[in-house]
Amino acid sequence: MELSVDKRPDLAVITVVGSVDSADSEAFLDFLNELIDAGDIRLVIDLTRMDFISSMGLGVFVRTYTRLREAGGFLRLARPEPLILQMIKTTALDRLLPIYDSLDQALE
Amino acid sequence: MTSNHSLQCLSISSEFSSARQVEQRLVTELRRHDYPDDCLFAVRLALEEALSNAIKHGNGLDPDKTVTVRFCVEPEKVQLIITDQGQGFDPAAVPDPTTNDHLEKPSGRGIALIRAYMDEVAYNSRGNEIRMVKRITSSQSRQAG
Repeated sequence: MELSVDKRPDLAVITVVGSVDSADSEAFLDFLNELIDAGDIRLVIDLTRMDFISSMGLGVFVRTYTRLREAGGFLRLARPEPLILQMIKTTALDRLLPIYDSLDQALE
Repeated sequence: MTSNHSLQCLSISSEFSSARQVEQRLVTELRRHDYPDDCLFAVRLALEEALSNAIKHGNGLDPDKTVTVRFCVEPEKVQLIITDQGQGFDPAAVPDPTTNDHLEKPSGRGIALIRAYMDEVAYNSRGNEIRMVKRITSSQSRQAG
């Protein structure tokens, strides 16, 4: 798992490269929590280069979504690969998490 | 398990990093058999979820306990058996994570994913061992090469 952040005037774009498995989940959550603690409460996660995620990784999305909603911010997921999108739909998380086909749409 | 294909048996410590090594080994084996990408994703996901459950919930992250992984890769199917040293659990008692009551819970999706992505899933009576099978169906084509 490789994580990077592009801080823009109104929001932050996090790019995830590679896999987010169970061994990565805690570090992934810590990364997002550090951003939120620093005041970044409008987050877009670009998934186009993420090739795998476990249920613990999906749990990081849920925790972050809930925390940001309570803080008055938002979490948006952009450009998931088809296999990742299918997994999100299998767990019905597409009913909870805002998912965008393009990064531009997620940034609007 | 069939006797015509090699059964691999591994014993790993109760750490998530150990699970990753097993997954990489299985993925390599599946690639060697030209399994299509969607099958490869499904089997990796099911193994990841089963190992996570065994390590976290079964063995309670106890460093003195191990998880045994047995798998057999055949041209048309892969079989996996994961056994932990915990007390076991009742899989039927695990709630459906897709209901509105459970949608915002951060955990509890692993078993549902295993059932969705594998063709056969069964537990032993104690509930500390899961057996899974994934088949390549006739509609799935093998990768070129």
